[in-house]
Amino acid sequence: MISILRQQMSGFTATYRRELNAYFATPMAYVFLAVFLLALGLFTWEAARFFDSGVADLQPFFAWHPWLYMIFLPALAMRLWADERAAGTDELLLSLPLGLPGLVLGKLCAAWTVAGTGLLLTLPMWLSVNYLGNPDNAAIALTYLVSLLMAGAYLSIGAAVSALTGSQVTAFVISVVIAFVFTAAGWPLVLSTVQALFGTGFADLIARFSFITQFESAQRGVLELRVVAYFLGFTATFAFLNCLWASRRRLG
Amino acid sequence: MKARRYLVLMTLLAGIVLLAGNIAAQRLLAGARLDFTEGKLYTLSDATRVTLRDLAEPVEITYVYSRRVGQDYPAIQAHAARVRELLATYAAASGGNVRVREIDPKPFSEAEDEALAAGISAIPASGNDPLYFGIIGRNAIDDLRLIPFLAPERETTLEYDLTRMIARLDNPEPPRVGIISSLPGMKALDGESGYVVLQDIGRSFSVEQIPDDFGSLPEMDVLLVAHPGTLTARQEWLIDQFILRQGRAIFVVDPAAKTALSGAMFSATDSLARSSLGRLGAVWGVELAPQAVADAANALTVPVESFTGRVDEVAHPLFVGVPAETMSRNDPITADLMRVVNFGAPGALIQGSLPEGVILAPLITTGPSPSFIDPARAARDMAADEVLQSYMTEAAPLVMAARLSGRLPSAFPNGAPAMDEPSDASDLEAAKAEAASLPPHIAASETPAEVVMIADADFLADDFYVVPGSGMVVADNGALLLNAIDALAGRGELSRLRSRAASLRPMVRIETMRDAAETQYFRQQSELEARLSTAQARLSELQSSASGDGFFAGDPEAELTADERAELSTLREDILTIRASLRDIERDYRRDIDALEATLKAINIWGGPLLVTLAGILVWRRQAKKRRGAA
Repeated sequence: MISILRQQMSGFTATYRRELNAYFATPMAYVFLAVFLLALGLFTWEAARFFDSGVADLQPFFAWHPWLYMIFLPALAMRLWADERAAGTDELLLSLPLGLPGLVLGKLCAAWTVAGTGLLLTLPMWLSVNYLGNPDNAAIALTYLVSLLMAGAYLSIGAAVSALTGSQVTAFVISVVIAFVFTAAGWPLVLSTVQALFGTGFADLIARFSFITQFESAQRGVLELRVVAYFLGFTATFAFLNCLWASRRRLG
Repeated sequence: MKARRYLVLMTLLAGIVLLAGNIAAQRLLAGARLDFTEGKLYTLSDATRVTLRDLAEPVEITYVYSRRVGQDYPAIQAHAARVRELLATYAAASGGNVRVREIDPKPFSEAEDEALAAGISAIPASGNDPLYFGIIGRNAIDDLRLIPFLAPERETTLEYDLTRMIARLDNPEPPRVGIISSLPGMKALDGESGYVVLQDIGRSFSVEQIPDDFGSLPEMDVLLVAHPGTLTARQEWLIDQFILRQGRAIFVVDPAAKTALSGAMFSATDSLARSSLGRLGAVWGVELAPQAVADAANALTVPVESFTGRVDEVAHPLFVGVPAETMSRNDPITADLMRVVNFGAPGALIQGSLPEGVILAPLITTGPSPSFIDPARAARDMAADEVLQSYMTEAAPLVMAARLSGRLPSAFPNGAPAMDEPSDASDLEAAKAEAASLPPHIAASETPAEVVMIADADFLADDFYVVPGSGMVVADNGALLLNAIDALAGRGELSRLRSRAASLRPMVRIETMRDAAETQYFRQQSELEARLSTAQARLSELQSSASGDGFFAGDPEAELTADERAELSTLREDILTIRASLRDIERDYRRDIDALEATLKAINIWGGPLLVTLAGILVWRRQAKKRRGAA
C-alpha cells in the first residue's frame, strides 16, 4: 500500500522544484505577483475605501479575494500543462517511470506556493490594520488560511484545464469561465435569476457550490469543517480530472 | 475511441462525486465549526446551552422568511442566513427537543395565511409582495410566542431573544413584574407606547401596572418602584409587607428627575422631581442623599447651542455616563454589561447603620471626585459652566446603585397603619373588603430580601440611550434594569446573555488624531475668530466715522488723520492674514490624517509590487551575468 503510494508520488519533489524554479527563473512569477498585489491594493484602498470605513477590520480586503483569484490564478496555472504540450515535453514526461499523481500535485503545489507568496506579501496590510486599531487577529489569521485553501481550488481548475488544451490562451479563457461560474454562483445578481427560472430550492443548492458563499463564514472569523471539506474536495476532484486529462495521450 | 469514452465517463463521474459529496458534506458537517473571533461572537453561550439542555417538552420553531423578497435586500439576506444557521445550531444543541421548520410565505399561499394568523409582521417591500421575516415558537400545549420581525440591527440580541422565547415556551408562565411609577413613560398599559425599556419588560415578563391609589398589591414576583409619587403610610406598609414576604424589589429613586418635569407644566412643584426610599430606607439604613450628584470624571458631552447659533459639544457633569468596566464585576446585574449606562442628575445612596446581617453592595459608583449639586437647579436646565461653578469636590466616590441583601425588619413596628378612606363613600365597602382580604402584618422578613436600588430615574427615559428614529440602542440603560429584574426573578442565567456588544472595532489611532487636532485647532480657531471680529468691528467703526458728509466725499479716508489711516491699512492687512490662517487651520485639521492615509496607501498599493519588481530585476541580472560567464 505504502509502496504504491510512494511509487505514485515519486515525481512530486522533483516536479515541485522544477516548476517552482520555472516560475521564479522567468519573469512569470514576478509579473504575476506585482500585478496581483497592485490590483488587490487598489481595490482595497481605492474601490472599497478601506481607510474611510474607519473600522479596523480586513473585510474590504478579503471581499476581493474570490474575484481577483478568478482572474489571476488561471493565469498562473495556464502554463502548467499547456506549456509541456506546446513544447512536446509532455510525452516525454509521461513516459518517465514517475507516478502521475505526483506530477499533478507537484505542479499544483508549485503554483499554490506562488499564490501563497502573493498572500504573504500582503502582510503590510495586516500590519497597517494593527497600526490603525485593534483588529481581531485570530479571526484575520483564519481568513488568510481559508483564503489560501480557496486559492488552491481556483488553481486546480486552471491546472486541469491546461492539461486539456495545448494553448495557454485557450486554457486561460476556459479556466476563467469555469472559475466565474463557481464564483458568481453565490452572487445575488445571478442567484435571483436562477431562482426565477428554477425556484428557490435550486438557487440555494447552487449557492452552496459558490466560492463566495463558502468563503463568507471564514470572513466572519468562523472556521467551518464543511468549508474546509468543500475546498479540499473541490481541489481533489480537479486534481483527479487533471490526472485523467493529462493521461489521455498515454491512453492513446 | 474507447479511451475517449472512458475519459468522458470518468469526468462525468468525478463531477457527480463532487456534487453528491458536497451536498452530503454540507449537511453532515453543518454543525462542526470553530469560532475564532475574540468575543466568541458566533458561539452559543452557556446560558443558551443550559436552557436548551433542560427543556422539559419539545418546542417547535417555525422560521418565516420570504426568500424571494429578502434577496433584494443584502442586509436582510445575510441576516436570514445567520438566523437559519443559528436555528440549526439550536436544534443540534437541544438534542432533538427544538424542532425547526422553515416556511416561505409566497403571496396567497397557505404559508402566508399561517404567518399572518400567528401575527408575523408584513413589512412593505419595494416590489408588490411584502416581506415576512420572523419566528413563531410553539410548545406541546400550543402556546405561541413570536418574534414578529427579525430586525438586522438587533443581531446582537438575537440569541437572547430566541433563548428567552424558548425558555418561555418551556415554562409558559412568565415572571410577573408589578410597577408603581409616577413617570408617564413607565405607566403605559399596552406594549406599544411608553418607554422602550417598558416595552422590553413587557416582552419578557407579564407587567402589572399598579394604580396610584392602590389599596392592595397584586400577586407578583418582582416589584418595581420607579420614581413613585407621594405614597401614603398605608401604601408604604403594603410595599414593606411585600418585601418582607416576597423579598424581591427594585427601587428607582431620584433627587432631581429631569424627565418627570419635562412633561409637566412650568408651575409643577419640585416635589414632582424628587422621590425617595421613604420610611423603608430609614429602617434599612440606606438613604437617598437630598442633593443631586455631578461627576466631572464621567461627564457626557451634550450639544449646546451658543448665542451665536453655533452648536458645540460640551462636557456636562450632570449627565453622567458610567463605563461598564467601573461597575461591580461580581454581581450578575452589572457583570455582563459592556457599554456605558447614562444617568441624568443622579443621586447618591448614603449608607447609615444597616440592620444586623444585612449587606449593601455597591453596583455602580461615580468617578473619584463627584460633587453635590442643588437638586432644584439640577432638575431644571442648568448649564455646564454653572455646574462647574458650584462644583464642590467630595473626597470619595458616591454610590449610585446598590443591592441590599438580608433579613429586614418592618418599617412599621406598630403594625399596619389605618386604611386610606376613599373620598367616594360608595368605594368604602370595596376598600374595606380589600383591606380585610390582606394577609396579617409581619414584623420581619419571611424571605431574605434582595432589593436593588438605583438613584436615578432619568436613565429609564429613551433619550438617554436610544437613537430617535432608528431605535438603535447606544448604552446599556435598558439592559441594566432588565438584568436587575431577571436576576431578582430567579432567571439568573438569562441575564448572562443580554448585552453582547456588536463587534465594531474602530481605527483608534485615527480617532485619537482627530481628537488631538480638534482640541489643538479649536482653541486657535476661536482665538482667531475673536480677533477677526474685533478687527472687523474696529474697521467698520473707522470707516463709518470717515464716511461723513464732508467736502471730501470722493475719498472718505481723506477725513481721517494720518494715524487713523495707518491703523486702517494695518487692520486690513491683519484681517487678510487672519483669514488666511483660518483657512490654513481648516486644512491643517485633516493634514496629519491625510498624510497617514497617503503613506499607508503608498506602502500597501505600491510597496509590494515595487519589491517584487526589484527582486525580479535582481534575479534577471544574476542570470544574465551567469549566462555571460558561461558563454
